[in-house]
Amino acid sequence: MTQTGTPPVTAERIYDALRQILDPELGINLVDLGLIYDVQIRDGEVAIRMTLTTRGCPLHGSIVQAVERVVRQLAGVAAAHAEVVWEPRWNPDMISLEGKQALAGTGRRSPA
Amino acid sequence: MAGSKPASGNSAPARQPSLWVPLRYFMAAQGAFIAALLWAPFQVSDLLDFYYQGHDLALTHLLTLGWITMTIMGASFQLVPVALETTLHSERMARWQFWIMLIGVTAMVGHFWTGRHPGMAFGAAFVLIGVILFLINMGRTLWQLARWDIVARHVAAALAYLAATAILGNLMALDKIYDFLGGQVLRTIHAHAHLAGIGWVTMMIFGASYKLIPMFSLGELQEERPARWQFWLLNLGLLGLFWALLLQSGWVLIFALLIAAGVGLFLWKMLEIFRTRRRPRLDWGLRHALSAMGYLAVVTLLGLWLATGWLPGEEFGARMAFGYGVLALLGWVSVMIVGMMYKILPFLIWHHRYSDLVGLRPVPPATQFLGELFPRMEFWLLHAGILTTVAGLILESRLLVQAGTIILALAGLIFLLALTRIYRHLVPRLTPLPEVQTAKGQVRGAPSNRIPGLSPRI
Repeated sequence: MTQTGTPPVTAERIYDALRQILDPELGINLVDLGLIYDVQIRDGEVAIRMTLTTRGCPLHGSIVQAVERVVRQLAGVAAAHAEVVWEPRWNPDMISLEGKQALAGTGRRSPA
Repeated sequence: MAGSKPASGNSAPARQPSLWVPLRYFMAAQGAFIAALLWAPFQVSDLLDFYYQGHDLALTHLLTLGWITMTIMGASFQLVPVALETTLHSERMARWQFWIMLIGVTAMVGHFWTGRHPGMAFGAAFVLIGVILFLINMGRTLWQLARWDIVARHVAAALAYLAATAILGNLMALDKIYDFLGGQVLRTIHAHAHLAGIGWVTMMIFGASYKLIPMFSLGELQEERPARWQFWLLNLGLLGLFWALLLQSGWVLIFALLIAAGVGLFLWKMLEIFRTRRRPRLDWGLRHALSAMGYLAVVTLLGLWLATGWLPGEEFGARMAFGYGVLALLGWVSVMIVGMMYKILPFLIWHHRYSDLVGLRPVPPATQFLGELFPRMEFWLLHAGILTTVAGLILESRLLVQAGTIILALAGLIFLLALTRIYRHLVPRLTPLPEVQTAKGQVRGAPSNRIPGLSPRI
């Protein structure tokens, strides 16, 4: 239930929230990895279309749960649903500039 | 898995086995490795002696079965869902298998040491039972696959060689009691060792590498065909080599060349993957893997040299063969396994402890579990120890072997410290999570609270 008077959630806030979820192997967040393909908001219900770096990824379930959990916590969000798709297929070229810098150890958010 | 609806029909996520299915194998294996390294400095006389004797065989099998085989078995249970996108057939069978293997390996190593053949044969039989369980479990898992890619082919071949090695090993154990194999013990050992080292272990490592190295380095396996040629070269070469060693035929060299060609193709593909990688910094896991491949190249060349038979004397040949074996066991296989453990363990433990807390509490990234100091120290000590020990064995230098094994023992201790750093994340008391401050200054720790507008930063 959204609280009365709460401003509607924006895509930007959702992406910001998703930046706190890191790929545990690469240490880069899902947004900078280019794994979040699309965010749709309608009447406080958020639908996220995303993918994973590896099709057989053992963290499939827990990453999806984390995404929904993090988005559900935002003000103005009544429900969140994440759908994993495999097309277009993810490749490292989809990593953002910040993500690439982090991989090279030169960015602000470098993994160990 | 709540909320995940894949776009195409058959994309149900593979279920990962529970943590302890692979983890108990890894812990036992690491215990065996560290024990072997700590034991080695006290075995210098035995190591300089001829390698076919009880103490050396005990140490060898502690490494080959206790460390290497147990690790690969545990890793298979973990990696099969990832690499082959399917689910392990039976977790319960994997649990039973663990205890059977543990009893079998302990009995074998203990009785090799004391020279009591019946006890050793009993242990070997247990190991064979464990191997059969593993074959059933993995066989049924592979059977579920719609398509066998290069990884699945390597795994299937490795399983076949494992079975052959275990059967031959049991025959050799019984032969010690009943003496029916005809007395050519050394030839049988060489054949058995290569079946195990190339057929079971190297084949598995190659298969896993085709999946894991691109994944970890963000590189690409561009063309699969050379990998398939490598697969066939390795198989043909090994099958021929096995019989040539057993019968002490001159064809050993031809088959050794086939194997060397396969290894060359593998290393070429790996180089290609590294060259195309998007992850410039190499972590300690990948550094171990790369250096292990360097050892593989040297071991292959040494093997070729031994196959030519152009050696200045039989005694030198025997020392060279032992040095070659130790370099393969420690330099190629053990260094590779250490590297893979540095990658797999943090990931496994992170998932177990932290994956459900993401978004609720600030969780440490898995990449930080290992730290820098311990893997760096262990890396250099391990390489120094291996090279010194092997040089000492080949040159018959007691001083070098003593120094080398002491360095290896130190490497073992540092490896233990590195592992402790990772494993401590299993114990919440040792790795408490920071509390999260809300915007209103309240401390939030319980996952069930819902605080609007707050996104805890990791």
